[in-house]
Amino acid sequence: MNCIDVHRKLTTEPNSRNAAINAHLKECSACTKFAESIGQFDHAIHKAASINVPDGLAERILLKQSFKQQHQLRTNRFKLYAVAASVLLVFGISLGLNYSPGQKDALSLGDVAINHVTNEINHLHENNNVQLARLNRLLQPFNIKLKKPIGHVNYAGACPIRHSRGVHIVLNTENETATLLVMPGEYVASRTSLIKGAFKTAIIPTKNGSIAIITPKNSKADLEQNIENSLNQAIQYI
Amino acid sequence: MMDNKQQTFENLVHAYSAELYRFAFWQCKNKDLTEDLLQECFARAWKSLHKLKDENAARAWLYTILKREIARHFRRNKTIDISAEDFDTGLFTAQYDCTISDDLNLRQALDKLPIDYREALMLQVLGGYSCTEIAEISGTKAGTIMTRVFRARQKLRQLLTAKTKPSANSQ
Repeated sequence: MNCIDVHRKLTTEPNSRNAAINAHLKECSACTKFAESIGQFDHAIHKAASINVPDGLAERILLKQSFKQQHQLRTNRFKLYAVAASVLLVFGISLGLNYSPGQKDALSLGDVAINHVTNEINHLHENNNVQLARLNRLLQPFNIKLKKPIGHVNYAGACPIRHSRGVHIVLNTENETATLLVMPGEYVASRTSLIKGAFKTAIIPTKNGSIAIITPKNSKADLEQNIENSLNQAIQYI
Repeated sequence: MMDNKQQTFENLVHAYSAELYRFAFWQCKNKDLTEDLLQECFARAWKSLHKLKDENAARAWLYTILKREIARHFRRNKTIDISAEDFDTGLFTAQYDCTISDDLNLRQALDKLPIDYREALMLQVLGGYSCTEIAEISGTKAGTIMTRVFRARQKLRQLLTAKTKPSANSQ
């Protein structure tokens, strides 16, 4: 290593003293003097550049950071609540859209109607030839009157249907057996249908509730509609 | 109980905030701004503390963050030279933390250095880093840093010589 190499090294890396530099400095008084002068100059720079640091700097940094963390924590918590609220809102809205009150009632009412017929299946086989007068006596508490017969009624009786009392009617028409459930107070938004097990049902909204027409699943396609037409012509609200 | 991250962070602040402050000050020369930049630097360090795997690399890592923060500040403010009202003139007069005239002259000379030269010189003199290490912190080549520190010292000598010459002539 010659003097030029040593000078170059000392002016760019004054703190770096490898074996080769040290060996050269031992033998070269000029370079030793130069190294001392560089060392003194760097020491002076270090001294001049080492300005006083404000008191409590580290503590202020930590304090501000802790405030930031607290703020971040609050923001995160708020975000979490906002997300949870949004999820609940979306869930609530979708629930509301999928199960509007009318549909919910109609579906569950259809189930109730078919279940009722299934549970009281024996009424389908009765043949009591119920007269119009007796039918109207059963319907009268519900302010309903039939102006004319709706078919051959094999059975009619008062029944508890879901939340209130109703009338269970079994009629024979067009060689098919059908059941009518008059359900006062059980409101539906519109006519709806349900097929379940061996039966199908149409829930028809009326002035004071609804009437379910339950027929065998494989009955004639227009049977329900014919019974509904007969009912519309005969029914009178008193 | 204080968690590990918090403890590590506090240790880093206590160990390096002073030297980082000095380094940052020589880049922006304003006490309030320096402290703000340091605060931002440590806020970023907190966020990415999980990335620091080697504790021996912590110091250089903090310098890198601070250097980027300073660069970001100057980029945002579209200027390297700070405005007159931001300048802490007191630091360059005998009234502030400076009783030896050599220190005062040197500070004034350091202030006149181009920012790239001053940054490299401060990392070497205050930080004790080699040119290779400064190159890593700065994202430049070691050769470039060698040139900068060499020219920084050369320029300082020139400035100091020029400062002493008029007074010598006047005597």
